[in-house]
Amino acid sequence: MTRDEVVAARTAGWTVEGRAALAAVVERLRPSAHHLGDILDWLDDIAARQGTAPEALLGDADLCATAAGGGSAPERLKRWKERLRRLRYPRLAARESAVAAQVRAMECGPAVTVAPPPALEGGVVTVTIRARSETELCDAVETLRARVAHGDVARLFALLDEA
Amino acid sequence: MFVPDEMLIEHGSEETPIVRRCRERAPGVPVRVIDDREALRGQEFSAAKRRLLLAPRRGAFLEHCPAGTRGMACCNYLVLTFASNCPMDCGYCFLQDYLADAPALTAYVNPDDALAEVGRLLDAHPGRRFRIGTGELADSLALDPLTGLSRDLVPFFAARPNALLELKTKTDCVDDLVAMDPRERVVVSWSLAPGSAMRFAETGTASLPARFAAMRRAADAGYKIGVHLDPLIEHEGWEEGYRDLVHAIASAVSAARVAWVSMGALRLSPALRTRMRARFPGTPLLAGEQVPAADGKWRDFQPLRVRMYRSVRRLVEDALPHVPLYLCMETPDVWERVFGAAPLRDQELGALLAAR
Repeated sequence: MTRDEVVAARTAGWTVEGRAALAAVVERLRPSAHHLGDILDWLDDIAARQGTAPEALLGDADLCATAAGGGSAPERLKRWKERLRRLRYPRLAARESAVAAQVRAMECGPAVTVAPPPALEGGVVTVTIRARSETELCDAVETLRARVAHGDVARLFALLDEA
Repeated sequence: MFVPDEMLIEHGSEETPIVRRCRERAPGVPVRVIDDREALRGQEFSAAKRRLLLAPRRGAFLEHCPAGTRGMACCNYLVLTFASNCPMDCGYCFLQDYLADAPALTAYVNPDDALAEVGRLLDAHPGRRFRIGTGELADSLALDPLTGLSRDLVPFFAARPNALLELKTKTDCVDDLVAMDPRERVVVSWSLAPGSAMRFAETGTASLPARFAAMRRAADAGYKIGVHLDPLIEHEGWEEGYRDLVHAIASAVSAARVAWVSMGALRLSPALRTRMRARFPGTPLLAGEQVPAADGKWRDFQPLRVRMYRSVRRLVEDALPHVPLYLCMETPDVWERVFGAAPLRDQELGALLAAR
């Protein structure tokens, strides 16, 4: 389906004002049909949870500010979808933020990258060490060992365990 | 009892025992003999559920359960197909996608062929214990008041020492069952969810009191009882809902009669989500915080479902001590988080449950 066909099929039951609000978002952010499908799914899901009309969510102040903000259309779309995703997945997004904060607090330095699993699924943390010498490698390993001893790593895995 | 709008009998099946029983037990239902079931294709899914097709199954009846795929732990279960589709209409049911084009709810009229197939397997492996269920593509008992199929199945399995038959249902249709002695070879299982979730997730299923009453009758008649808390549905008040549900199960039947309890997350393929969105607009089932898991199906995000599994595990272990509890369609990682250990190898888990 084209983008216009997706919009027409999915918003047939919306108010005129709601369709106009969505048209404005589409005009500003230029999402592909795939992104638009995600957006409409998320609006429906949030509306089902909150007992509101999907189009009412488009009035969210942060969403409006992001759509009207600076940057290219793809950049604004990315930020706008991220905001909508936080509304769609409030507990997951909060947990992802807590995990990201914990990774930052570990301050492992530029040689060590700690990557949690996408959407926290699978529970596996990927730790990457980049080293140009034995000394750099030992430093990175020592940093990680210190974080383990300090309990930082245990706290990270605890965040991935149960919500 | 489910009464179809119409019975369609494929030409050549008119004199089979299944057809005769259906006509005797639902004499007021209009009957039409058709030449070819393929000509019925293209019917709307909900309407198809109201039309009963009686026809022979042409392919194999016995298959390995599809749950043990793509990184999921497996309990080595076999599924035996006697019917396809279901008169009930649960919002999360995979059949609404899997059988989207099915022209009718179909009961196969050649169960003797199926039992011959099972017999060959059991005879070929007398030292192995098999767990075989009929509730994959249809509810095991929803059509039993019409077909009387359990009168063929129970005596067959009662005489087989190396197989356990599981009849999985959301109905209270046990009238035929309780007239027979299963000789410890048949488990009647109920899929259960709290009433608060049933209200928005299940259409046409028997009420919880009716299911518990049927559970008591089946246990009193000598059947083992299985419980499937699957899917676990996260909704407002879910913890209290599952607590009350597990207590009600323990009140209905002694733990000694319970063969197993399973837990499984709500899991939805992308295609199923699309179907649900079209068939049940605004359903709360799609509003949970579900993300794609290892097999591509959407589940509640892992830390949330681990919390649910642990919570329900505690409830089950308190109320039904010593009853085997397992996860359906979950990763070894989640098993380890919930039970403290990775699952047994497939055949060991299957053998443990088959020995119940």
